[in-house]
Order: sequence, then C-alpha cells, then structure tokens
Amino acid sequence: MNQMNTIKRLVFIMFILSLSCFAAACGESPTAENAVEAEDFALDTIINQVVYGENAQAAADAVSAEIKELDDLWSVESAAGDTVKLNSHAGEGYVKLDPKTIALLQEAQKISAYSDGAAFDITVAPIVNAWGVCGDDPRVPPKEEITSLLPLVNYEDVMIDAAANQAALRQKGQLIDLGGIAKGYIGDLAIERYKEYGITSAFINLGGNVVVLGSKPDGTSWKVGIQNPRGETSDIIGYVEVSDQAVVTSGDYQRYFTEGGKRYSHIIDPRTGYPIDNGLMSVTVITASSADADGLAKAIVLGLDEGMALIEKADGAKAIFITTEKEIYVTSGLTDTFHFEDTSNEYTYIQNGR
Amino acid sequence: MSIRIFKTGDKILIVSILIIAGVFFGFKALQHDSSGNLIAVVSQDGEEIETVNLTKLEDSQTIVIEEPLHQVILAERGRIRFEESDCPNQNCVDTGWLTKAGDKAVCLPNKVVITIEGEGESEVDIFAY
Repeated sequence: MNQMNTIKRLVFIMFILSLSCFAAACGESPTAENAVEAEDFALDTIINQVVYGENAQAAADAVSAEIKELDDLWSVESAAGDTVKLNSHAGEGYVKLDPKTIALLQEAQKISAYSDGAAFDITVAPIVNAWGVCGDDPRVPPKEEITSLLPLVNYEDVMIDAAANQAALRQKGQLIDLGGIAKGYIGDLAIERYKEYGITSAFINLGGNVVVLGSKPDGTSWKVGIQNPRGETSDIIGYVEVSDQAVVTSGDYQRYFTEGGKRYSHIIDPRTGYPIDNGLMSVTVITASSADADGLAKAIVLGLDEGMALIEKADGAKAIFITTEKEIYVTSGLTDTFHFEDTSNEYTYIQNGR
Repeated sequence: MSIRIFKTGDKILIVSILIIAGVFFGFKALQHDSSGNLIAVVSQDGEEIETVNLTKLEDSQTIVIEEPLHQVILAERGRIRFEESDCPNQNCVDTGWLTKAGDKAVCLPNKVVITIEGEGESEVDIFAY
C-alpha cells in the first residue's frame, strides 16, 4: 500500500510538472518575445538584424552605428574613406590608414593566400571597373583592355605595415575594392558586439551573408535557406541547420548583365580577367567566421573539383556547390546539416558524388 | 485482480489537469492561427509606411512614394510589386510580382523594402542569398 502511495505521488508530481511546462510554453519565454529587429542600408545592400534578450536594442543599435562608420571608411564612394585614400596613392608609397582598415587588409591577404590569389584577390578592381558590372552601364571590354589591366592584379602588391598603421599599393594604377570581404568581416564584428552586450541568440543578414549567434531562443538550430540560383529570394533548394556559424553564398545571379544572350556575372576570375564561366552557379560556405566564409565562397571561381578541394582543405569549412546542370554537391562535413528541399523540382542532389 | 492506483478524487484531479493543459494548448494554437492571409509590409529606411492585406484586397491599390525618388507600388489581390521607379538600375521593378510569404523586393537607392508576411511561411528562419 505504501508503494501505491509513492506511485500516486509520482504521477501527481509529473502532472503538475507537465502543466507548468504547458503554461510556460503558452506564455513564451521572455527572450523569444523580446526580439529586436533592425534594418539598415549600407555596404551597398540591405542589412537585417534580429537580436534576442535583454540589451537587444542597445546591441542592435551599436552594430548599426558601427556598420555605418565602417561603410564610410571602406566604401569606394566615400571620398574621405580609406579605400579612396589607398587607391589614389597607388604606386606612391605608404599612406596612413585606420587600424580597422589595416585589420581588414590583413584578413583579405589571408583569404587571398588560401587559393594563392586564384579565387579571391582584392586588387581585381581595375578589371571589375572595366566590366562595369556593379555600375549602371555594364559592357564587355575589348580583349586588349583586359590584357593590359591583368598585370595590376596581384594581392601581394598590397603592402601592409601594421605596426605603423599604414599600407601601400606597389604599382601605379592598382586599385582595391573591399566589397568582397567587408561584409564578411563586419558580420564577425557584429557577433563580437552581441557577445559584449551579453546576447546569446541573434542573427545578422548582410545582403544575403547570414551570421548566427548561438541557437534560436527556443534552443533549436537556425534554419538558413539556400537560394535557388535561378529563383526569387524566397525560392530555396534546401536549408542548413546551424548554430554559431556563418552562411555565405557567392553566386552568378547576385549581380550580372546579359549581352548577346550571354550572362556576364560580377564575379571576375582574377587569373583571366573574365567573368566566371565554369559550370558553377553558386557556392555556399558554412563556417564559424563570416570573413572566412565570404572569402572561401569565392571558390566558385575555381570550378567544382578545385573549389571542393579548397573547401575540404580549409579548417572547419563546409560548402554547397550548385552547377549550371542544376546538380547540388556538398562537401563531406555537410551531409547531416544540409536538407535538400527543392520546391522547383529542377535540382538533383548528388550525394557522395565527390 | 485490479490494482487500484488512483482513487476517484485522483482521477478527477488528473482529468481536470488534462483539460486545463488542453485549453492552454488550444489557446496557443489559436495564437498561431493559420488564417492564410498574405500581409505585405512596405517600409522605407526601416520605418513601416504601409501594410496591405493582399488576401482580402478587393480593388487594386497604389502606394506612391515621393521622396527621395518617385516610386509607385501596385498591390492587387494576392500580389504586390514595384510598378514604377525613378531609380537608375530598376532592380526593384525587375523583381516583379511578390506572391508568397517570405518574398521580398528591395530598392536600395530609395531604401524601400516590400516584404510579404503571413502564415504558411517558409519553414526556414533566414534566407542566405
């Protein structure tokens, strides 16, 4: 009889416990409801933040302010900025720059070195300008023009004297464009700021570059949709489940123009000076640092085999490659994280294909 | 032989707790009512300027933005788009119709964003693009 009573009590306690769980779920935990959303226009794109918890507003505001400040520092359009300063003194020796710019240049050098400048090179700007893909008047430049500009493309010509906060471009006519790395770098800064404000759950989406801090407020992983390269923004070919990771895509659809029925992407191969045309439509990299993810996504320049090899070699990085044949390949670490869900029914997921 | 674990009083208690839990669940489900309405939200520089229930829209509706660039947004039942824009690249107009939850059109020069919110929204939390 004594045993019966114990069982009864246990059952009763279980019910009370489950009731309080339901009640808690109904009220929602305060963190889930206290989402702060911010939208900013900077870095030539739209930036969205969603930050949870106490201090969320202060954290989001701090990040917004910092983004604006860095945009002014690094945009090719801000006359007083460091990019313009460095470019306008190309071939004339060292110029003093903001320590933040020096840090970004060092990061850019590191990422360029991953592929020895084959996939990513911040000095490709003179050729990007010749194509005008990012302007309002794109064109196919004459072959001679590209050939004459190619010798200016060399990331090793960016000389950095970190101790004195100065840098130089070795040759006259050389130009850098930090657009390929700034968003990635700022994504990491944002996550650092969130942590300083005691935030444990947040994400920032910098024009498609996604960086998540922690998990969702309910403790589950963030589901980050991977864009169908030939669809609208909300058309996805699947998603990855991630916590504390960056998800960055480099795609031929992001900026391009068509001439004579041919698609010219904004992604220029630094070795040839021509837009990529190697059978890849997009590469999405998933890794802890968004600067790394941004840089490694330029593996799209290398083509499927070489690109996959580059990602496999990089510590902790995983990637999704989508070919013009609409085949999807993922690197070895991603098979559990990636969920293939193609609403268009046009894509094939090649598992264990490589 | 039947072992009586619960007395009548216990049973009443358990059943009533179950009912209360059920009511909580029902309430929660109701909060996430899937009415299926598509809500278009138009914002400029982060400030919401117009909300349109596209599902319940009877006649087409235009939203005109004058500053800094002239722009016309056209909403019809179930869809919305940038119809005209004085911006140089016309990316916003080229985006075309937005028709489902999660769809988004952006005009960077005018800092105007159209987003469609609503139930049946994609199961993903964030779009990488």
